[in-house]
Amino acid sequence: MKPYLTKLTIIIVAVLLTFSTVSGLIAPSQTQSKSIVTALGIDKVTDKFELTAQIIVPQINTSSAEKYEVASGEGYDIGECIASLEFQTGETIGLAHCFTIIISDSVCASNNMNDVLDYFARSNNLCTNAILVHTTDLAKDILKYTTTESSTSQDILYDITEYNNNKILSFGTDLYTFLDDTISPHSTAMMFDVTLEEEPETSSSSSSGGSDGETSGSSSSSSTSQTSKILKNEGKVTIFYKGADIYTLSKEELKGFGWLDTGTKFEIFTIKNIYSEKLTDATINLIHSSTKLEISSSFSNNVPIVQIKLKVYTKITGVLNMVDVPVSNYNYLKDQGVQDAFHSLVQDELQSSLDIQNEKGFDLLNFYHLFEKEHYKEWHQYLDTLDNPDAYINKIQVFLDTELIEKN
Amino acid sequence: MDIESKIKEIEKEFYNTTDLIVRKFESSDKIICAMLYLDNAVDKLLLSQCAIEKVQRFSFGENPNKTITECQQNLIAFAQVEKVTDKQDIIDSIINGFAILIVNDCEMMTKIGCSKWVTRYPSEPPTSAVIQGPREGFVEDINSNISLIRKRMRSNEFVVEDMTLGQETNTQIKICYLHNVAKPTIIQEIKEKLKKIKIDGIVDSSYIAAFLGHNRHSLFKQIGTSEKPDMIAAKVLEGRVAIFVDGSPIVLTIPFLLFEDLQSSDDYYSVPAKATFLRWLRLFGAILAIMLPGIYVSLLIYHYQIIPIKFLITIANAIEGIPLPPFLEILFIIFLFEILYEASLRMPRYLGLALSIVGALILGDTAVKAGLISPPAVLIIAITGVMSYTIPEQSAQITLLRLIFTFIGGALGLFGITAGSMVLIVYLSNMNNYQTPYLAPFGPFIPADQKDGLIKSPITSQINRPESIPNINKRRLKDAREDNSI
Amino acid sequence: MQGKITAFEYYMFAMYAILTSKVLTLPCVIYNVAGHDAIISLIFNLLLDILLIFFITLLIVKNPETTIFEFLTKKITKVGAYIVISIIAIFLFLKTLWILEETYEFLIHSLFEEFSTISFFLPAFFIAGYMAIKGVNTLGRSLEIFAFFVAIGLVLCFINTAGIIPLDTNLPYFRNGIMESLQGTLSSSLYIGNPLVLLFFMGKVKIVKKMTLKTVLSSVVIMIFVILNDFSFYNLMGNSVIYSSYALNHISQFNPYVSDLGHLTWLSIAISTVNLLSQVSLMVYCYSESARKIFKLKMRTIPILCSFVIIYIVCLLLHFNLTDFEYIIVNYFSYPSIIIILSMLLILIILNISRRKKNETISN
Repeated sequence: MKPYLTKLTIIIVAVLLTFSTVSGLIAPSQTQSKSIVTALGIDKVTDKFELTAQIIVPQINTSSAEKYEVASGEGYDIGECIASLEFQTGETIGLAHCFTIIISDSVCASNNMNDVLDYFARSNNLCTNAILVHTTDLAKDILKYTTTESSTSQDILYDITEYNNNKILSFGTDLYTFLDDTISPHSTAMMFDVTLEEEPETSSSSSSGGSDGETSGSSSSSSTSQTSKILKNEGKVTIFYKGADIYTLSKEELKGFGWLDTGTKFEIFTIKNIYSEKLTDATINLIHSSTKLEISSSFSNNVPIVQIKLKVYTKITGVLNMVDVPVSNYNYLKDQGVQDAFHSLVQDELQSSLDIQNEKGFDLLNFYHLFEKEHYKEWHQYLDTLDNPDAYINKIQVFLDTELIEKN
Repeated sequence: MDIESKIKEIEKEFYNTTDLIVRKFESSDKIICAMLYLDNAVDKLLLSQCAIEKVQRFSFGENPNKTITECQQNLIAFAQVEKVTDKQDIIDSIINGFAILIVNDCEMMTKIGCSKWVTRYPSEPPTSAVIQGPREGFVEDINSNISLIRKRMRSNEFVVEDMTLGQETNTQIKICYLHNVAKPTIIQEIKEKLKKIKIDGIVDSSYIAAFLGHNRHSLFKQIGTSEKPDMIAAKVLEGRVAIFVDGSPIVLTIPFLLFEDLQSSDDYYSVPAKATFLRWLRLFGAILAIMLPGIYVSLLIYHYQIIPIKFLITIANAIEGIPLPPFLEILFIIFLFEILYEASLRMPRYLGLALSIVGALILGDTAVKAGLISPPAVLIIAITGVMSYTIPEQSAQITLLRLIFTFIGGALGLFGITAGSMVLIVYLSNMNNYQTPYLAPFGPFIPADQKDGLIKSPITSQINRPESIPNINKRRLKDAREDNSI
Repeated sequence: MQGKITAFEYYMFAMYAILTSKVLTLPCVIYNVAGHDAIISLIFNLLLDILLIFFITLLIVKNPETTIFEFLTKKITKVGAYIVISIIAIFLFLKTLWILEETYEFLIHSLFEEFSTISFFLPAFFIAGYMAIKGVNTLGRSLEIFAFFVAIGLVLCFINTAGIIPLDTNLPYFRNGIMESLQGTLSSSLYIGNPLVLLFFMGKVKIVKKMTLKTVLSSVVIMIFVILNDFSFYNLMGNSVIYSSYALNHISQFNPYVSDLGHLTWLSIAISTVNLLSQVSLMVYCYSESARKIFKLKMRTIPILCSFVIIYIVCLLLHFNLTDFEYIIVNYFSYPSIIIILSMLLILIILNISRRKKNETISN
C-alpha cells in the first residue's frame, strides 16, 4: 500500500509540475492576449502594402455590445504588414474570425493576386475561407465606415456578398475558390465590388442652454454642408485573369452569366414585346423558381461548340398589355411567342456577356474545363493548333436552347 | 453450577455492563429462575406476558432438568425457543437480542427469540425518488429488509445465506440470490472473499464493498448499491447476488456495470420512449458535467477560433478586466461551490436559508460585480454542478473528474480533453469484476443487451436475461406468440 | 472471454486500419504526385488495404487457435518466422513514428499556435503505452467504444459539406492514362499496410460465421466514407489543394454556417486524434509483442519504452517537420514499403492456398 501511494503521489506531483511549467495553464485568455480581427483590408501605397484590420475591442460589463477599432500596418509583403500591425496593437493578431478581405484596386493593378493572397492560404492563422471583396476606393476607408458605432452590423460586407451570391452570381468569391480559379487553366476568378460614395448632406444645428443653460456651455447656431459616405453595392463583379483585374462587370452585363448559373435566383424578371397569335406586344412578369441547365461541348469542323439547354421553372405574377385573351384561362407559358421572347431575352443578355468575355479574353463560365472534361484529347489537340492557346475563348461558338416551364 | 454463579459468569463476560438486565423470579414451586436480556434489545412487554408470567405459573417439580423441555415446548409462547448450553452461544444470543432463561439446578438454558431493536419505518429513499412506482426503501434493520425483499421474491429459489462479520460488531450479513439464475462460481467467489474479511467492526455496507472490489484504489465503485427493494428484486432476477448488511439501508449487488447508474427505477415504470430520452439526458448531463469546465478553459486559452464570433464577443466582454487567468478562475469557483455544498450538507436546517442567500449573493452577484470572477464561468460551474446530480450515485466521481479535466483542458487544450477521455475509457474498459466487463454492454458491444441500454425497449420484448451478467438461465419471458395460453 | 477479442472488435480494428491518415495527410501527399487522379490513387491505396484485410482474415478464420508466431514457425521455421515478424514490426514502428509526427504537426497547424513537444508526446505515449500494456481485451473494448464517435464524426464532417460539393471538378480521370494514379499509390505506399496489425491478433479472435465477409464489408463501408470525405476535399478545393496539408481540416473549414456555429475544427481534431492514437496503440502493441517474443521478454513494457525514446529523439532532436517527412516518405520509403506490402500479400495468398491444398490432400 505504502509504496503504491508513494509512487502515485510522485507521479501526480511530477505531472502537475511538468504541465504547469511547459503548458499554458496559467496563461491569460486569448481574447485578452490577441487582437481578434474580423475583417482585413489591403491597399497599396507607393510601393508598400498597407494592411488594415478591424479589431474587436472587448467592453467591460457590457455582455454582447460590439465595439471595433481599425488599425493599420505597412510592409513590403503581407507578412511584414502583419508584423507591423502587431507592433501597432501590442498584441499578436488573430485571424481566425476574419471573414472578409477587402482588396483595393491599387493592389490589383500592380500585382498578381496570387502572390498577395498566398500568405493567407498558407497561414495557420487564418482558418476561415474568407470572402474577398474588391473596391476602387481605399480598403481602409471601407473598414472605417463599417466600424462606426452607429453601424448596425459588423458583418455588413459579409451580408452583401452573401446576398450577391444568391441574387447576382453564385460562382463563389472566397479565398480558396479565387486561388483555385486563378491556378486553373482558365485562370479566371472574380470578386464582388463595393464602393464608398459621397452623399452631400446639408445639416442645420442650433443649441440653446435649456434648463441647465448656465452650465451647458455656449450655444451656437450654424448651417453647414457636409458630405458623408455610404457603402454602395451595385451588384458589380470585378474579373481577374491570371491574378490581375481586367474588367468590372455591371449588374446588367452579369445577367447573361447569371442565366447559366443554377445557384442564382433572379426573383422577378420581365419578358417584353411578346408577339404571337394570341398576344400583341404583351409583357409578362414572372418569378424565377429554379433553373435546370445542360451544357455540352462538341467539335464541328474543328470548331469548338458549346450547346446550352436552359430550362427555367417559373410562375407568372402579372400580364400587361394583353389584347383579346382572358387572363384566367390561357396558358401563357405554352404560347410560342412567350417562349420565343424569352429565348430572345436570354440570347441577348448572354450574347452581351459573352461579347465582353471574348473581348477581354477571360473565361468566366469555365468552358475550358467543360471541353477538358468531355473531350480531353481533342481539346488539347485543338489548343495546340492555336497560335495563342490562351485566346481559345474567342473561337468557341455558343448555341442556346431555352424553355420556360411553369412550376406548380 | 447454581443459578447465581451462572449469572455472575455471564455478567463477567459482559464486563458488568449496566444494560444487561437480570430479572429474577420464582416458579410456582419456588424454583428460582432468571431472565437475562439486553435492555432496549427485546420486546419487554411480550417477554413478560409470554414467558415470565408463564414460567411463574409453571411447576418444575423436583427435577427441573426433566421438566424444562416441557416448559420450552408447551409453555413459552414465542416463535423461536431453543435450548442452549454453550457459553459462547449464550453470549452471542444475548447480543443478538435473545433473552436467556436460566432455571436453578437446571443445566439446560433456554434461548427465547424476542428481539425488538429500534428501527425506523421504511420510507422513500431520498436519492431514489420516483414519480411512478413503489416508494418503499430499505432501513437499517436487516430483518425488516429481508422481509421487504421476501415480499417481492416469493419463490423457493430465492436463497438467503447468513454470515457474521466483525469481531466486535458481529454484524449480520445476508447473501441473497436466485438459485436457478445466479452463477454458482460468482456466489462462491463472493463467499470466499467475505470469509477472508478479518476486521474489528462492520458499520456500513460500504466496508464490505471495499473488500469485495477487485481494485481497491479504483476511482469508480465496483459494487452496485441500491436502497430500493424493487430495484434489488429486479437485479436479483437478472442474475445478480444481493448482500444485506445489518445496520445499513444500502444493499450491495454483484456484479456491477457502470451503465446501471444511468438506469433509474422510474425507467421501468414509465413509457419506454420517455425512459430512452431520460437515459440520453443523463448520459449527456454526466459527460458535460465532467468536460464542460475543461472545454471552456481550453477554448479560452488555446482555441478561440472554435468559438463562434457572437459568443466570443460576449465572453470577451464578460472576462475583460478579470484578474485571474481562466484556469485559476474556474478552479476558484469550483472551490467556492464545493465549500458551499459541503457546508449546506452539514449545517442545521434552520441556517440553510441564510446560507443559500449568502452563497447566492457572494457567488452570483457580489463576486461578479467586484470583477473577481466572470458570469460565464459562474454559469458553467453552476450548470455542471447541477448536471453532476443527474447520476447521483456517481456524483463524487463526476466532481473529481471535473477537476481533473479542468486541469487537463488548461494544460493541454482540446487535445488533452480528447486524450483524457481516451484514458478514462481505457481505464474503465480494463475493469473486469466477477467475470463481467465494467463497460458492458458497450465495451464489449453486446447487441442483445441494447434492449435495455441507451434505448429502452418495452418489457415485453426483453425475452432473455442480459448477457452482460453471467447467469445459468437465459430465458426470462415466455413470448405470448409462442403458444396460445395467454 | 479473457485474452480474446470479439468479432465486432476485430471489425473495428480493420476499420481503424483503413481510416488512419487517409483523411488527413494522405490526400495532400497523393495530390502532389497524381494531380487530378488523386482520388483514383486513393482508391487503389484502399483496395490494397482491403485485399490485405481479406487474406489476413481468411488466415485467421482458418487458424482460430494458432498465433502468428506459432503459425509462421510451423510453415517457414523459427528463423524465417522471426525474420518476417521483425520486418513487419519495423515497418509498423516506422508507421508509428510517422503517425505520431503527423498528429503533432496536425495539432500545431490546426489547433495550437504553440505546443511544446513534451505536451504532446507525453500524453500520446501514455495513451498508446497504457493501451498496449493492458492487453488485447482492453484494446478491443476501448477501440470499440471510440469507433462509434469516430464514425459519427466522419459522417458529420461529410454531411457538413455534402450539399455544396461540385461533382466534376477533377474530371476527366485517367487523362494521361493510369500511370499517374499508380505513381500516386507508389509514392504514398507508407500509408498502405496498416491492416498488418491484424496478423498479431491471430489466435486471439472469437470466430463467428461468415467472418471474412463481414470484415471485408465493414472495411468497405469505411472505405466509402473515406472516399466520400476525400472526394469532397478534392472537389471543393480544386487546384488549391496544394495550399493544404490536412484534408479533414479543410473540409471543416467549408462549413457554410461558420459565423453561427463556429469552425468545425474541433470535430476533425477529435476524429483524427482518437483514430490516430488508437491506431498507434494497436501498432505499439504489435511491435512490442513481436519484440517480446523475439527477445524472450516477460512484459511488453521495455520494448514500448525503448521505442518511445527513439521516436521522441527522432521527432524532436532532428527537427523534422511535415514537409521533410513527406519528402522522405515519397523519395525513400515508397519502394521499400510497396515491396513489403506486395510481398506480404503474396505470402498471405500462398499461405492461404497452401492450407487449402493441404486440406484437399488430406481429404483425398
